[in-house]
Amino acid sequence: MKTTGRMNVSPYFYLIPSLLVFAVFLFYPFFKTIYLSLFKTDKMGQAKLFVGFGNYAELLSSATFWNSLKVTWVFVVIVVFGGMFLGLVTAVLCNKAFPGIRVFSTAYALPMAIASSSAAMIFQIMLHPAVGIVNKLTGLDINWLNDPNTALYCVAILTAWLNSGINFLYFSAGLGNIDETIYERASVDGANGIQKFFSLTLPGLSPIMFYTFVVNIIQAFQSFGQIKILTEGGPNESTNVIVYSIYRDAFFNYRFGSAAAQSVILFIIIMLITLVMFRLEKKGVKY
Amino acid sequence: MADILLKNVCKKFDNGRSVVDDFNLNIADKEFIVFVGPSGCGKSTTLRMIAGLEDISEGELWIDGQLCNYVEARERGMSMVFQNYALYPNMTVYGNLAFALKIRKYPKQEVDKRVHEVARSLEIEHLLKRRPSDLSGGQKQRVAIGSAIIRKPKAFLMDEPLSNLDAKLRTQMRVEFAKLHKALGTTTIYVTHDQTEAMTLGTRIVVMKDGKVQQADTPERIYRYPANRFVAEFIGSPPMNILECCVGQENGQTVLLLDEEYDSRFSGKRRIYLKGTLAKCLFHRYMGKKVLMGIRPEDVCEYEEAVSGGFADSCAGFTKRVKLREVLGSEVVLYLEDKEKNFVARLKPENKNQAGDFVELFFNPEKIQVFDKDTEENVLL
Repeated sequence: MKTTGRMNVSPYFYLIPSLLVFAVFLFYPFFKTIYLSLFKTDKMGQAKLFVGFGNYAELLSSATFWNSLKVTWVFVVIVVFGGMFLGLVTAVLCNKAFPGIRVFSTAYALPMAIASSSAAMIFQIMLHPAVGIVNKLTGLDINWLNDPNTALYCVAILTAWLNSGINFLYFSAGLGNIDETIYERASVDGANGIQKFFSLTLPGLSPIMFYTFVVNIIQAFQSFGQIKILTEGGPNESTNVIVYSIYRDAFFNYRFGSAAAQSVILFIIIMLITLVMFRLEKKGVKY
Repeated sequence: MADILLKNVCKKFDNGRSVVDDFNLNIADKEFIVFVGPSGCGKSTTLRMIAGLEDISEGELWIDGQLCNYVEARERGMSMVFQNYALYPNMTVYGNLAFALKIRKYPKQEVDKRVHEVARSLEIEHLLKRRPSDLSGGQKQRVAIGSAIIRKPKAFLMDEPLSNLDAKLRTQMRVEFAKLHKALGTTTIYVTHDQTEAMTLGTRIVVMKDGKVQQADTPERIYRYPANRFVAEFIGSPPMNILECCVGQENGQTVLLLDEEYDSRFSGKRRIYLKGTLAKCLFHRYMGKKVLMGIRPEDVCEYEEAVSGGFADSCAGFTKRVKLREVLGSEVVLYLEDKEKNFVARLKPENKNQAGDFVELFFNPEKIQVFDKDTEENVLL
């Protein structure tokens, strides 16, 4: 069948607005980052000297970069599992109707509405070695944010708590989709609360849990504000996650080429994890 | 196997609304009890109280001589089949069948043996690896039944298990339920609003209305001797005809005088001569008073049949205009014009009356039920 040229072209006109937005804010920065990662740059971020994969080779032989990867890994594990655990527990607690349920639900969902920088400021005061409530309550004398052994955990736990709000919402929605009668049948069948949780609730949440897991991983890799405010990557690089390392390389050390190379590596890591996750979905998600 | 006793059981919700009120019933071992009634009459709530899924507000529930008001659902040893089947969506058919045994830590071989036995008996062995989402309604129903019977419970509780199936499958599954009960002999409590299911399955039927038991008896007795007007009209399709009439005496015999216009074109006497206990009861308690007479559509007949039945002389000729005629093959159903609602007669297929015709009908006096006009209770029960 013969089609007119007008018919072939016209659909693309409708795509132009969104393509333009994508091009300016996604495609151009993305390709520019890849381009920059192959160059040494000047202080203004202009590509000056083509070095090929030199920036990558330099990174892979740098102890700081490997430390940054390790720190990022620990941070992501704590944030993802901590945030999901908190979200799941609170959602399960609020899944029953009882007086004051709305107050609890609001409290558990609240972290989602708090800016990471505001939360960081609050935590900074709470964790202050002299006046902080944490030391007062526990009777300890720890400089939480300046001790390389505790700083990463503090920042990670704060981030996990911040993420728990949206996780609470995801899991609450997931629990609402589980048919109540299967719990009733399980009760009559002889199952106790723990058996019902592991045999019905967790498998029933598996689709939403998978989604939440992927989103949490991506979010955790991109955490920045709280690290910037609380520790600035220190002490002794113990909280220098890869995103903060990129920021520091680009805007403190003016090594835009190295920062771009780290960005590309971060992109590859997140892409690989997401691909693996989607592969695993077919096996892990029950229905 | 279990005896279940419900003593003055009540269910009240927090807002004070009463759903079940003073429910008394003694269910013997191996009985098939059917709770039947209109929507919202409290039959499902009663079943859920027996299962342990609802708290009992007042009264006592005894299972096998043990007071079970505060015994957890999982410790009552019951199995339940739900209206929506309640299959575990994340498990295969095998997992669904095996669940109750696995959580009781039965040996793996025993679980496997029982699952295959049950699956074979319900003809679902080829479905064992499928998930509930891949099953048809009838297959899901079989899996739900299989899950219930696999652990040999004290009693089966079934909450409208056939209401999601189409008419043909419902009939088929009804027969299966009857066979299953015969084979297993397990005490069964079955909730339905479908009176055909109630009549065909139950060894006893409990008719409920507004949270109260109206009558608990065998299907035959419920049909023949309804305890009140509600039961008379609820059980039976088409329902029992109810006519207002007056108790009188004629030639030394107690008669029911039909409160109808006399039509000179017909020879009807407009009165029914009564005998036996009913006559005595009405003579002593209702002479000169108005009562409600109930007669089943199939106990209404034409003159020839009344003559051959020997009651043409003792019964009124009831004259009415035919509003609608339904031919069902084995019978003809005539809907007749009446003051308030339809009067229905199920007649032999030879009947030729058409809509608009006048027809004279006779009632078999032995099949008549009489209800008090004020309380609407059966005067003999």
